[in-house]
Amino acid sequence: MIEINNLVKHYGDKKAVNGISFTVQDDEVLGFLGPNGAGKSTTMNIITGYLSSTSGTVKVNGHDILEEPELAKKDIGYLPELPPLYLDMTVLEYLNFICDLKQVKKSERKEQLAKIIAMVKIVDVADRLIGNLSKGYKQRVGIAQALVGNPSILILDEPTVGLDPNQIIEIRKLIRTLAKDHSVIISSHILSEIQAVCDRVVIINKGKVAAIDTITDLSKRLSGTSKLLLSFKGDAKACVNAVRAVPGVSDCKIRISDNDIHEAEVTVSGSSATDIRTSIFFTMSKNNWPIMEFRSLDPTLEEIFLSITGA
Amino acid sequence: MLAVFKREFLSYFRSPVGYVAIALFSFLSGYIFINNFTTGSVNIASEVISLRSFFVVIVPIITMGLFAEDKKRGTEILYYTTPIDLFAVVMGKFLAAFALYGIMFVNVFIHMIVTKACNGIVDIGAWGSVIVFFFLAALFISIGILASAITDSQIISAIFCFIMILVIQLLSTISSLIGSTIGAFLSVLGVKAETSNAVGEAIINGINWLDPFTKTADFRYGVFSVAPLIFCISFAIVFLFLTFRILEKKRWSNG
Amino acid sequence: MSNAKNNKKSEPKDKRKQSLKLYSIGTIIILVVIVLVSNILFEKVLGKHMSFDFSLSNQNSISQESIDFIKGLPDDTKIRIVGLMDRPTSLNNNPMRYIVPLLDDYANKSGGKITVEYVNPETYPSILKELDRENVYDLKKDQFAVYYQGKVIAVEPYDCFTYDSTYAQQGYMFPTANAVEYSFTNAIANITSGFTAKAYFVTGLQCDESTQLKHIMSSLGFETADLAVSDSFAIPDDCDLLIINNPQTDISEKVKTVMSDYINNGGDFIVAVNFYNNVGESYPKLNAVLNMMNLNIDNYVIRENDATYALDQTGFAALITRTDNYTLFSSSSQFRSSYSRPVRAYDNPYSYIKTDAVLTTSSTATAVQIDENNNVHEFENAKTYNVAMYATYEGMSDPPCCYVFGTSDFTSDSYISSYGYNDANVQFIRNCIRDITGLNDYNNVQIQSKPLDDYSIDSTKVTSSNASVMTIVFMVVVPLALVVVAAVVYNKRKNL
Repeated sequence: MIEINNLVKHYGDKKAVNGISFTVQDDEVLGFLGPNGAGKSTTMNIITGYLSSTSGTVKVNGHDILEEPELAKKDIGYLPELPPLYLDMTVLEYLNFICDLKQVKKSERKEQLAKIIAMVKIVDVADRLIGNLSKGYKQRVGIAQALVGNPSILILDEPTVGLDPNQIIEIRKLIRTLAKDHSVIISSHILSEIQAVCDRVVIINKGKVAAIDTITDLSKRLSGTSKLLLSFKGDAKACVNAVRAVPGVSDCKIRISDNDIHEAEVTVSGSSATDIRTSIFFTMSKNNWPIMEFRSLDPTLEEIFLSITGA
Repeated sequence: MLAVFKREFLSYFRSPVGYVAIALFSFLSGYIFINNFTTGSVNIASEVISLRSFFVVIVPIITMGLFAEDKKRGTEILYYTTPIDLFAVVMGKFLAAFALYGIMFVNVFIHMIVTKACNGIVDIGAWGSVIVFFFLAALFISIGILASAITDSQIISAIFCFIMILVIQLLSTISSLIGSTIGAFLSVLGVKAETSNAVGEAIINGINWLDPFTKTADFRYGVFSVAPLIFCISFAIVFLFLTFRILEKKRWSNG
Repeated sequence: MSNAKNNKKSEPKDKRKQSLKLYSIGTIIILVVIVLVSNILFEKVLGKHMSFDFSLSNQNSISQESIDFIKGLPDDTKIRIVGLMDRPTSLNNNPMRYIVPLLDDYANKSGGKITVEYVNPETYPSILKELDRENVYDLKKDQFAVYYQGKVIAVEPYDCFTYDSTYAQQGYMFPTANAVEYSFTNAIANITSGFTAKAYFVTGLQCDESTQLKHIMSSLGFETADLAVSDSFAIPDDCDLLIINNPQTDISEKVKTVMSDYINNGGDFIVAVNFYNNVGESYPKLNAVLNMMNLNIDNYVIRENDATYALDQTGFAALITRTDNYTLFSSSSQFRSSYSRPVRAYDNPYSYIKTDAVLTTSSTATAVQIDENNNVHEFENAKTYNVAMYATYEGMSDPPCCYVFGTSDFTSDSYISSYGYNDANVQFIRNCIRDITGLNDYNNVQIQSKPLDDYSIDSTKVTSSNASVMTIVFMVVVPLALVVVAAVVYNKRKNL
């Protein structure tokens, strides 16, 4: 468990982090979300003890990172944005070195390393030079490094940045596996990633927490207005006007027109979205405008993020 | 500490750096030894003393990457975020460089054996200069480590270390230069000759006090004194501590 | 930190950072101060005691003799030893390596009575004025000045060693012994005791140089000067000791007259003559002077027949022994001497002349004559011959005294430079000089010189083939092998 209380970090006059507080429960995956320069990396660096905060406390399983750094750091595995890899070592040499650093007992080392190597799927590159590995493998070695010493908390800073889609999927899978018995904090500006793996999300902007909630709750909280997607064939203009005329619909816009298929976004005001769908269906069928696709649009994290950060 | 020592020491031999440094040292020490040998008189102490002048080249080679490379590659974050004391990191790297120096020095031990085999003398002065050599090596390596910690460029670190050691090697020249300049300056200002001389001399003596070479000069003649060794070690600790503080600064500074 | 929430706006200063910075800089300053102070304290307080001379001959430590002598000086004695140079830093293969550490040891062990400093007169010309107010000592750069109460004794680094004379003739200065302590302690003894005396060396008799003997004498506090034989030969009034060292021709009539006057006035002198292969050499005029002291040098060469005394087949090089009156003059009772002439008491009838045998042969030596063809003619029966004798007048307030040596092995440059200042012969002649001039009334400092370290290796192994093998191994094979290993390792790892 990590308790972060009122974290402040100044860089000169600039406040990179300005009063961030949140708690990460055991075995929870927390997404840490914000635009570039919002203070994500700074916060993570403070949590891991790399930087000291200007004020505020970080407690890792009850140990203050400033007062009992050794105990606190023991429980944290950290993958920084740039994985701290020695390119001139082989994977095994490197992981053994990390074991030395984290004071993993000699007796447990072999077993633990074998487990980690199997888990992050780097068995076949274990004897290769890290400098010769692909970016995806390097990232896995970075994660392996964070896993050494069995920390209860994993902090991953942008773990999928720069990877190709296959690798991203692999890494996400890996994170979900890890989440079973670790608390995980993942920072990202790739929202789908957070959506894919996180239980809860902390959104920060300009050094402050903009929102903390589970993803579903957050969506709900934001769903004072909901949206529908409507694809159809026919006269776009007439159709838009017709839909607009349906009671409860506050707006309708054409998003895409592809030859004679149009895609419209329908904004619904009020709470009874289901009723409105029937009305729209009948309006369409009445006018002989075939519906190609019709579904409700859950607010994406992009939208949540945009609406919260006020962009 | 052991972890860092192990990694850094082995990394000398994973890359060409360690081999090249040892090869260089073998070549230089061999050259000096053979030059002595052909004259029919081999004084190991002289050889070791001559080898001290190569600190200025060899120390930067072996220390330049120690911290600079970590900074550049981002691996230094490991030392901040794992439960290891930063000072232990500094000591580990220091000991690795020191151990490499020890390995280089095997050359001189071989020369000693050859000398013995030729009925030459390896006297107490030779051992004295060996002891001094290692204490000076400790001092200069600590300077090299400091140089490596202040920058993320190996080249800058090497140059800085080179200049520092060069200045120390030329300290007696520099001191008399500064001392006489200030003395002359004072006498120009109208200070009495005795006073300006005394001031100049005091400055020379003050700067010379810092010169580890003068301090340890007597060892090669078999005169062992503890004070110069304490001097070397304590200043090595100062430089290592400074390195530690510079690393730690990263935690709280604006950088 | 609990109320950080309340004052986070009103607190633009970063308190934690400030305190960390303060702590960081503070600890650095404290450490540097501790290191500086403890170093200075350690050096000043314990430095002396924590310094150990392990060198075999204690080259760099002053001997107990010096320490005792310095301890015996009054507590308020202030002796300055000023090196007229920048403090030498590179002592490598340089005579300074024996001087600088030893002088430091003087300063350390003198209890403040002796200070050592290095002042370059080129940088600080005023130092010469300071040491030598009346400009009488002719101090030069690179000398050491031993300064005490306005008086100065200059010590040349070159003079602190004895050199092999055979090499010296070829222009190489090959030091044989280290007499640094000998030079400096004697200088200190002389300058503090106030003993001064002047010795004149008679030259112009095809004598050898007397450089070594002059060194020995100047370390005893003598001023030495040459006195060339000429028609206007005269012995100056300030002459305390006249020395005729190894003449190969007889003295002139003029010198004979002057020396007779000198003896009548109570003058002291030392004569040393040996047997050169010039068979015809004889010294009637010199003997005429010696006869005044009831001594005579015979024109024979002593051949030692006792095998325990003889040093070679011919018996011309042999050991000689001191007589009982002179046991204190040297620790060794036997001395080397070659081609010695017998010195005997003459038949001068005056009973106030007292002669004394000093150095004698075994009881079976013979005096022989060698002719032009190197044939040896037995001349006298086997008996004990005197190689050196002492003579003086009894019952006078300032009597003339003399030592006459029938050998040059106590005074010649070639002998002293070959065997060094610690040799028994040198020790003996030094004590003869002390005795004849009354120096023992002033001080009794007897410092040994020290053997130099010899780093030479077995010359049979310094063959060019050995050297080239080593060149190849140490400078080519080993470095190249390492570079190859480096390349292999690099390549192998690169492709991992």
